[in-house]
Amino acid sequence: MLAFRRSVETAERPVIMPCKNILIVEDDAAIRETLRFVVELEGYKVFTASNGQEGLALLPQMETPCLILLDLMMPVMNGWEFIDALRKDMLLMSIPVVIVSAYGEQAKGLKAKDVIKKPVDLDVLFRTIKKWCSQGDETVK
Amino acid sequence: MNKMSLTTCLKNLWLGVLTSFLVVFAVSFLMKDLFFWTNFLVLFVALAFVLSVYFDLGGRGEKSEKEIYELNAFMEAVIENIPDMIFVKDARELRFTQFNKAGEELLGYSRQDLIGKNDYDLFPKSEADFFISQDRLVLDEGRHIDIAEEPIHTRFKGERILHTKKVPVYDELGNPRYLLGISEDITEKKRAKEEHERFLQEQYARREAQKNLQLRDEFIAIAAHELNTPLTALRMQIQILNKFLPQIDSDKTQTFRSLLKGSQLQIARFSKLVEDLLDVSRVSTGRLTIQPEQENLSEIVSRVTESCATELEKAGCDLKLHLDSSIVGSWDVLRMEQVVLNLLSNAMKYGEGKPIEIKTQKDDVKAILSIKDNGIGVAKEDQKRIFERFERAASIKNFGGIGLGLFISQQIVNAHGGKIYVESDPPKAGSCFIVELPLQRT
Repeated sequence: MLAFRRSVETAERPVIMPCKNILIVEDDAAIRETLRFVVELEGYKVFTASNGQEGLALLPQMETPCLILLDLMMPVMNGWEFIDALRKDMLLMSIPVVIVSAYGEQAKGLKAKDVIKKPVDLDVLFRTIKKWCSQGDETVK
Repeated sequence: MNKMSLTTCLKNLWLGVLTSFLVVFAVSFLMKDLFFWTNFLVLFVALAFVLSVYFDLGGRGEKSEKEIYELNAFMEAVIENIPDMIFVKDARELRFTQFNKAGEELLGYSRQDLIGKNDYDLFPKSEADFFISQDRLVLDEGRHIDIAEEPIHTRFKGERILHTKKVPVYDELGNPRYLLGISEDITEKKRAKEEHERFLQEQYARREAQKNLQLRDEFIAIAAHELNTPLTALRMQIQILNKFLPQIDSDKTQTFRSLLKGSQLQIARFSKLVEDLLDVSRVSTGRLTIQPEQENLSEIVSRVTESCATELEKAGCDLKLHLDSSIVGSWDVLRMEQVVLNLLSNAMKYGEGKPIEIKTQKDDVKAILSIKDNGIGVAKEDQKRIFERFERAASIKNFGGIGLGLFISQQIVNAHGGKIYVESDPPKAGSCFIVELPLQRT
């Protein structure tokens, strides 16, 4: 609730929060678009991809995101393969990845920063995003 | 018969020639006088021939008498010791004239008792009728008969099953003189075969059941995942609506608030069901793991009971807590909350609105959590079963639920190295679920 109120305020004063990018990689359109909606409400610029391959193709075309929200089970290229590919790329390997999945325990062993279990709790989502996107950025705190 | 054949004569002759030649050759070689010793060659050949013919003839005559005797003894030994029953009946009256040892043992009579008797003297009429009819078929039609299975009543071994062959034996004029019967006792073989078939059937059924379980587990995993996807979107959308609530016209706020609260409550129920199904598929794939951290068990209980205040009120159950505040151990906090919540939910559901008592205590090695209600109780025969997946003791007509709470609770408790069980003694009211957790995990 607090997060929302604050974001409403920040929306009125857009200068305070520098624009930060978040990439959402999720195959289910309903979840993807809802995530986009809520993350945009928080003042972030959102890019979406419906599978790992699309995500990888999108990354060089955008300003390096402060966070990637990643689903695990996806067609074409799944979350595990996406992380593998990401970790092999010198430019992309440092981007924090947060897994959003029903099977949170499957994310074990992946070098993900956090795991958010589906169904997603918005407060948990906001807390996690803030944790990774406000590092070294006092204005967002 | 005693005359030597031409080929044998020739063979002997050649042997004689060969031997003589070798001897002459050796001697002439030593004496270095070939001509002199050649004269002896003819003499040697003749002598060897005569001797070999003589010995061969005499030998043959002596052997053939001995052979007949030995052959008889041999045949008798075979017939007597063969493990199958061998019997002979005379063709006219079908009375037994001969029996071997296996026959005596099988039928339970001595040879003296059997010889001269017919089937009607030894077996029930229906059996004897059948034996005689088969005998007649063999003798009248000159057929060999193979009876794959025939039951026979024996004196000491009860009913046995025989595999019998019957063969006619003719006299020199070609008339049937005897009936020869050979019977193998296949009772054990048949029983073993039946048992083996039963075993195979059971094995097949077991494998099928296992396959079905696996299919069910796979289905649950897929169903849970598929249900979870729209649920995730729905839950987020309702949360967003909730956050927008303050911006809605004040006159409608109250209606919206209660509608949203209701929706959230239903989604929470839905999430719980889906989460239970996901847990089942975690268990079946060995992915139910625990993440232990130091925590006070009584605090876990307090948190859960506080969150259930509304439900407790609705269920009309008074809650009594006896919590030992010093029980600290290494537990997966979220999972243990799940166990307490499951047990408390059951207590409310089956507690008939009567008081519920939760107690935590410890001894040297373990923490003990008990949740006692005063409701319908669990029958003795159901007390193990209710911890299996999809099992329930109460009728689905009276109580809802998919029967996973206790199964998951048990899996969580087991993963902690503990155990869970129920004490209940219907018709005495109430049941008490007890969870024991080791204080030091090994």
